[in-house]
Amino acid sequence: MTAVELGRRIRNREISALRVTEEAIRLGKDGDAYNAYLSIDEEGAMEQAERVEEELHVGKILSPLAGVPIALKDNILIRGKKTTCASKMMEHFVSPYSATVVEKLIQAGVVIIGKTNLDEFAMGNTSEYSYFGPVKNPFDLQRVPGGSSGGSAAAVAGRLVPLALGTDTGGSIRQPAGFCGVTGLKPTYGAVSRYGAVAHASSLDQIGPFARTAADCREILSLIQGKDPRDGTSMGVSLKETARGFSGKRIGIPHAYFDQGIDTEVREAIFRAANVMKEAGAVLVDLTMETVDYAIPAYYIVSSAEASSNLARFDGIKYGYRAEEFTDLEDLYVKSRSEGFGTEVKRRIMLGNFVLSSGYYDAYYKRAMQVRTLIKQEFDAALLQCDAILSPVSPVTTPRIGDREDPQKIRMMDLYTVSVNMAGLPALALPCGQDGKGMPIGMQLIGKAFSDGELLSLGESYQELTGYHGMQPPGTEGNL
Amino acid sequence: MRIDDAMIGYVADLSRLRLEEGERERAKRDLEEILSHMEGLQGAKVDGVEPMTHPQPITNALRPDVVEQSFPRELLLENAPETAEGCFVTPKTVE
Repeated sequence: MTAVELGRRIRNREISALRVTEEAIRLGKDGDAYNAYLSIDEEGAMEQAERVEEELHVGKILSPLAGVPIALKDNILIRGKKTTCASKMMEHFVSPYSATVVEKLIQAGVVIIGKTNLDEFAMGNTSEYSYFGPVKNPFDLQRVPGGSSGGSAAAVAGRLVPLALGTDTGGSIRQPAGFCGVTGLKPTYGAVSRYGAVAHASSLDQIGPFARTAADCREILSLIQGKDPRDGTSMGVSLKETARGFSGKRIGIPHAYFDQGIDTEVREAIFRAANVMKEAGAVLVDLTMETVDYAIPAYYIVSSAEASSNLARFDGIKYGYRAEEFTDLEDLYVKSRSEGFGTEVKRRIMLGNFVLSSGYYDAYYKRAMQVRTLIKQEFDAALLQCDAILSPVSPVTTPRIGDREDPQKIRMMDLYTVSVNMAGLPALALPCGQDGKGMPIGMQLIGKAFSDGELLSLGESYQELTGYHGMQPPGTEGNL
Repeated sequence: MRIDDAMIGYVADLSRLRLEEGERERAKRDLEEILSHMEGLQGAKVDGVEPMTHPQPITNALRPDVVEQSFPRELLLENAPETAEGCFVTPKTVE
């Protein structure tokens, strides 16, 4: 059942919000074969469900999603609850305040069930770099769910919960959505307040939804979007629906994306999707987009530089892990950080400090920021020629857990997603096929800044014409 | 580019990280490996291109100059490993 449908039934008193919440809690506790959840907030969830029931009883409707359960990536703060970022550093951190998105969800009557697993501090793309163990893909427990919001994707794919929030810095919503066969939206930078989301790379980070359908993503985005005085970069976004269907829509195909290093099955699935749109009246437009060659290096430099600065706040003094033995203040900083951060986080902090250091700044960081300008210009020009760009989410389908001998191969899984963050654009990931092993294949539609509403309309139209969003992992029948 | 002991030591110092013996060799290899893939950027034609720090054209986001309630001190100290008299406690920094 979709979240919109579940919300409708709760409103019509066909199902009680309490029953749905109890079921989501039960599934989170007993049905989580994926290590998707890090914590379940039974008390908070039941309180919220009771509130929704009381409001409904007096005829008050909080929102179309009132009573619907949601899971949040464990880098989003809920007041009084733990936020671990899947790090030893934050293992015992209790949030002193709630993220703006959390306040908005609670106000709308959405029921927060718990917090989901991720790559430590959202750094990674397989959800293996969690201090609390890797997340498993519901379609094959031997495979990764993608990352870094792997727990949120697995929870929605495994039917533990119909909705989840994640964060996307370089593909961390779209890539796990693609690998887990669910729909995920990285909103335009500034559409959703980042207040209360633990910062990874501040000029790239954005909170967004996971759901079964684009229509569900629209509902949840309409609740969480908006300008927020506590995030100076937030602007909100209009979610007006545009005409359904592909008639007259111009869909851009960047052929450089399909040239090399892409699985044949992925390429075929995307071309099949393009054909569905064409047969429904879309005009396919050939795009020349060559900055893709620079996407990964430019992204790693910019994101690591920003991360090294953001993570400087972890000093063992104000909050977070503190080493037990130390000789002086400097030693306290160094030991707390060395013992508290995991390998991948340390790697990125060191890369970030290297590219920002005197003597290397111009050759790496400044050049990456200049390339960022070129990437944005290229996307802006391409989006003048079309309504949306169609690309794969990832050049490959999901790898096995532990299969990361070649780090460059793992980085290349983000080849098509990182540029979208560099340019600040919205992009919607949708399931569009399966590989020979039955693993989902995802496509993404990239739109102009603040065209999230139009993008979702295209996604909804695609899902009216196809059934890939209905694919369900084995053993999840009868779940939520 | 080659990362030697001095360079990895310098970067670790900047990062306030200490690398154990085995970790240091691994970190040298990792940084060398990732930087070799960053070399691709050197081919980009960036002469005269403005660096971009931020995706949206927002400058000076101001809020109304109104006094607002700040967080209670006790609340923000709750996560601190050590506090005393409403303050964070650090090792002594002056002789």
